[in-house]
Amino acid sequence: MIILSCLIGTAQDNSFTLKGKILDAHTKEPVEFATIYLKEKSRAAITDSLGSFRFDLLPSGSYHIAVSYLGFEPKEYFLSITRDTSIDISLDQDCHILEEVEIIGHHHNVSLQSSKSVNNQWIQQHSTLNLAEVLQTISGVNVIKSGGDIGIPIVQGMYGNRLTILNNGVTQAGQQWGLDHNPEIDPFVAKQVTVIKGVASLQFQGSTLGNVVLVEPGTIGNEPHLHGKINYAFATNGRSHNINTELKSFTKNIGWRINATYKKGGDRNTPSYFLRNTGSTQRNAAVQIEKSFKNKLHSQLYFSTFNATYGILRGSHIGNLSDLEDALGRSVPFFTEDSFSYDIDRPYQDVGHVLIKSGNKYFFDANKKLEINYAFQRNQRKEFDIRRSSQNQKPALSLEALAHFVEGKFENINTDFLGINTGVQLSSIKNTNIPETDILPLIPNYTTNQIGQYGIVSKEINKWRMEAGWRVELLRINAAVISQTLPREVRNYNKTFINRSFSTGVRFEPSPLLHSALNFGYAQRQPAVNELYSNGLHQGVSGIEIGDPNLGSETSLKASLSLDGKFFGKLHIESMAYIQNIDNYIYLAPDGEVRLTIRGAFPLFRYIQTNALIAGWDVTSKYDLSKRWSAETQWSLIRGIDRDKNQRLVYMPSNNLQITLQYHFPDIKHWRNLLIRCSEHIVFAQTELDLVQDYAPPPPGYHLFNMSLSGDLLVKHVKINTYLQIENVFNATYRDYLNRMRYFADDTGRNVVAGVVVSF
Amino acid sequence: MIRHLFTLLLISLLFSACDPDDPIVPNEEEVITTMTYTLTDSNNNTVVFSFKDLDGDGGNSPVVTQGTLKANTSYEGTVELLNEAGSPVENITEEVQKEADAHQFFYSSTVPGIAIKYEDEDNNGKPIGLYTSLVTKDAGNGTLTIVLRHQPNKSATNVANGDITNAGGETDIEVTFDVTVQ
Repeated sequence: MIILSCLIGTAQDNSFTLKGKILDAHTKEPVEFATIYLKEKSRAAITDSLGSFRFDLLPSGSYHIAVSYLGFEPKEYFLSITRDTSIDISLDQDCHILEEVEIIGHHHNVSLQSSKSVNNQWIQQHSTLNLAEVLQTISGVNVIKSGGDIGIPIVQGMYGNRLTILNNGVTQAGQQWGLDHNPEIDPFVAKQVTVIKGVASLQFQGSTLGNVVLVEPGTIGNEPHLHGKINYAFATNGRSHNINTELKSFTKNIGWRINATYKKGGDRNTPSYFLRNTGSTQRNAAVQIEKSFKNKLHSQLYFSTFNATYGILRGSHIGNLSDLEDALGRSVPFFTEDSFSYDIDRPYQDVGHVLIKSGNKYFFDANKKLEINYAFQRNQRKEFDIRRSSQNQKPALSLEALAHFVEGKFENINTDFLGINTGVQLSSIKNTNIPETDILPLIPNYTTNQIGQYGIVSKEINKWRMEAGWRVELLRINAAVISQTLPREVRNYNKTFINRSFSTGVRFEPSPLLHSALNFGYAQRQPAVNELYSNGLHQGVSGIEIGDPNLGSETSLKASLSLDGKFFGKLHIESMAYIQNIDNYIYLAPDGEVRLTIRGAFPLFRYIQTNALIAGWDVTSKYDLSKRWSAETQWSLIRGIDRDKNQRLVYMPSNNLQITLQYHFPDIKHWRNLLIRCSEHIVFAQTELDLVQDYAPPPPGYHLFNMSLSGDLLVKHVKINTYLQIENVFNATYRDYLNRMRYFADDTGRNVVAGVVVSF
Repeated sequence: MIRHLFTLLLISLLFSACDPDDPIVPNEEEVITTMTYTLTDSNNNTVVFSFKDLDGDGGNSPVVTQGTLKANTSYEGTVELLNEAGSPVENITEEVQKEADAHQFFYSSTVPGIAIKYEDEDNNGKPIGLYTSLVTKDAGNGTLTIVLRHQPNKSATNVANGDITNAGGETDIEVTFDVTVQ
């Protein structure tokens, strides 16, 4: 936010003054030691204890100014100076502490449900990571990995079918049912990625029980010059090259932005051996065009494409249960080679995703707006397994999903009576097995058509804010299933579900430095297609998985209590405790039976329902030891219980703790924001799982030591950010419970990432 | 008016494209439905062990034929693999023969005294196991397990002698028969 007030100055030989104040957007406190950089003059100023800065003797003209301070999102402005000028700039806090996120765009409308974001700067400095790994810095977010570059996010115990991911406001229509199916989104396109740790998701379509991940490209603005970023990073583990460029401008009243990414990596390594066939490549691009009509109608066209090839650890490909038992007993996986390679052979995945969106917002006035969006998505996934005949080049799985999405939303905020946010969303997804595999498909061809309506009302009275909302969703799933029995025949199934969600919450904000919120939510999720109809051998896990067409919807009741505050001027605390009861929780359970086939006996797994309880506590605290030193701890505790069987739920993250110590160097010449961070990540063992629930007991706990060093070099119009990160500094050997490769191999060893981001 | 058009659009969207494409039943050409292990003694008497499972991973139980061997007898063993799910019936044995260096059979028996040896080799002089010799000793009962591995490491320790421990690769076949020697 920028407030520009022009003082009536007297023009004296084109010598003007630009002065102003930098404030923390949230606390309204002045920000000391912030850097204000005037690009055209290569001059910098540092704010004093009142947050004030001043440039004197400026000739009239147009100037770019860049404002940065550690822990805040950097900002850039474009100003014309024709007289003495005074500006106030509010800076938003960076990813971790005390951030509230704008969920509904344009206006600063804050939902009561707890949300945390990572910003583009964080993403740029972690360019070797995938979407899920980028979010791992947020407490309560973990990653279920499948070796190499494959990882899906898990938020407060919810993942896959239970976690909706929105790509620029559109529910991602991918293949979320698979634990080894990466979200098909390039994090580089995002201005920020937000994780809503909610109790029910009302405004977003998708089968979710509260938690949502939003990938938000942001708006372009009306800055008339060409700006851009070039990012290059090299990582030693996997020897990966990661390149991203972004260009944006505002010309002829049209704002545009182009973003492109190329990544290539080879075999990763553990401390003692290479993980053969764990390389990956990515080629992604996005184009965004914006135009504003009379400042009333804002239209956006968005196109993005994501194309990835992911290698899968060769030694993890197995033919039957005896192969799995063989593999489990080994210290080094089968097929391990002595040398590094960039080659990607079978087994591998080829994934493509295209999103085209037209977004239109009409502003009636400052408080009222109508939004109409349409999006089309095409998702392709081919999985190439090792086939019996090496001549056979066909994939073992080939799916194509086509999705259409339309929504209309209306919002009226800041009314004296009630704030209103309501909308209707429709979508249609058609998922088809491309008949090129010569293998019976694991999930059938299906279509899902759904229509949903939601409404949220809010009211603010003094320091209290209350919110209540509902969502009703009507879904119809049509599936065409090929029978497992001979003769093969096609059976059609139709199922209709109605999901109802409600949530209510209250927030108390006694001061800008302290707020607390209590939320309750009720949500339903219909069974997904794989849970209803999958039938066949799931190669990767060596089990025969059988769906149940008679499954009913899951029903969740969740409560959360959050507290965010700053105490004694030095201690920030961010805490969220939650408890979620899910009736009819759907999961894949071992049946106890084995099925005899010519390849030996396979265990049967069936999708069944139970009553589950998930409870956890995410807490982050940061203490400013001095102006330059700070210490941070981040705890994430979670328990998942199957109440019927009185045992633990599988795939729940282990408890973990991260301790970080950070030092902010004084500026040296043209260097700014010089920062060194050391952190220790302690992951406790997942305990109390019964041996029958898994092929191998959970691995022991471990701890990793990480370091990073970063700084900005300012050269005229160009900012050069360089960073060096060392993960797993001591090259510790470990296996992680949430990495599905743990059955076969150790996790990755030391990784040194060196990167540079040039912004102009 | 616009509102009506919008409603119409919504409804038409919901009811168009409602049905999934009819799936095309795949021709499961890589499936092995049938394995037959035929043992022939010097008098041309044959004993046949076979395992037939036409619906693959489906729920119907396989049909297993097991035989009785004579004590102190030498047999020649041959394996035949078929895909009988489609028509015409496909002979998979030829395919294994063609990619002999990427396949190996492993035989093991719990019956005391039974000895099985490879009688064939691939281009690298490593065993395949389509042709074997089997010699029985005293009478007894037990099992005979036949495993076909795809892409095993034939050079690993003892793999060429028929020990599966270090072979690796994927299992294409793993079948266990009951055997009586009398």
